[in-house]
Amino acid sequence: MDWLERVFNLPSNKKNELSSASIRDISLTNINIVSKISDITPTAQFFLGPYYSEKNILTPIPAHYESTRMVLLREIAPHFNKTTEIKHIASNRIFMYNLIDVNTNSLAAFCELLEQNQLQQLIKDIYFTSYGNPLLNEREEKQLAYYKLLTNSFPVVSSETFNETWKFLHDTYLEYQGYLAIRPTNWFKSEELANSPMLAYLNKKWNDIYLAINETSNKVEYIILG
Amino acid sequence: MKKIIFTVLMLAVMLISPLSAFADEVNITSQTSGSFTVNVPDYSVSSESSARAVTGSLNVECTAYNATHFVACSWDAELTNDKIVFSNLTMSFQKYSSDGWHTIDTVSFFYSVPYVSKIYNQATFTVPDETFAQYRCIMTGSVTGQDVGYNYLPPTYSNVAYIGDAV
Repeated sequence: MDWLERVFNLPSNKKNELSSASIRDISLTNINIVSKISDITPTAQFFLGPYYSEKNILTPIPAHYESTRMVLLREIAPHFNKTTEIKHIASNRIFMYNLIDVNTNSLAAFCELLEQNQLQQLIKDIYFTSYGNPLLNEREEKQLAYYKLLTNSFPVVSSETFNETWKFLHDTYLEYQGYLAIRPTNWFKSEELANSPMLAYLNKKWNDIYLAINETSNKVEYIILG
Repeated sequence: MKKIIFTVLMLAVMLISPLSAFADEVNITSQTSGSFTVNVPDYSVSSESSARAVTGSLNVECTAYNATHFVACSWDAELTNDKIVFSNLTMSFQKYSSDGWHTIDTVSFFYSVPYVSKIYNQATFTVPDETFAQYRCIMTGSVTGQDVGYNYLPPTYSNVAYIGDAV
């Protein structure tokens, strides 16, 4: 595959003062989100997607900007039954939210969007499009190999409806921790993956993109932007 | 007759030798697995056998709220050279009485986590209105690192949180 290059090290994480704070320096507060919304924006779809196949997920979202907090609290958190605000006590700065326990009505509405083919197309690509086939292997080992995407191998893809989501992901994960990991559901290393609109979109937005591939099954465990 | 006896003896030798080999295998396994036995269906590489050094930490802190009669225990878990993808931790909430500490509640934190270095969470416990009581919690369990698999974190005790007036 001439669009993938095997690499042996990923770039190191971005360190910041808040992430290195001791547990004594932070406070965790469960907050009550009163508004219940029926609209599921593309950004909410991005975070609800993994819950389609697995319910027991903790979703931590860095949120050190006021603008991202507003998106999080208005568009995403209402779809969860438990939202925890994590604050650095000395600086009085909120730096992260935990979302736990997806709302069953929200998940049902998400499934309805899927059935009616109304999910945002790039989100559908990550969670509900299959590429390649798993290697049939009796071993259940999970050794990861990392591959870097070669940037000039993809067509230019733009998506007006995903741009807000991209901005949110950029201003939260990429700004705060220096990387973003997206977990596609049914992607396997194959030539077909070069046709993924999501990979093409990300390739236009970010320079260093890696695929973490399970060498035993060929499953793409993560798309890592770092 | 001699032929039958010989055949029976040969069969016995063939049966015994794989059994003894199996016994050796069991011994070797128990020696190398160290102080804990892990059933790891998805990950073959444990933190002990990995060539890549991974260090992790687990911290827990309890705060008592006298006015509202609850104790909040917050924790964080971190892997310094890996990303956490799963947490399987248990918080045992304990109260001190004259014969020692007793667990009065437990909370599990059993979650998939989307590839982050550090996770935070908490549990709150409502406690009775008493003149004086002492509480703490113990965190036990593991977090799973993406590259190294299961990473057992040592049991970690919180501080002691006091409800009521300290004597």
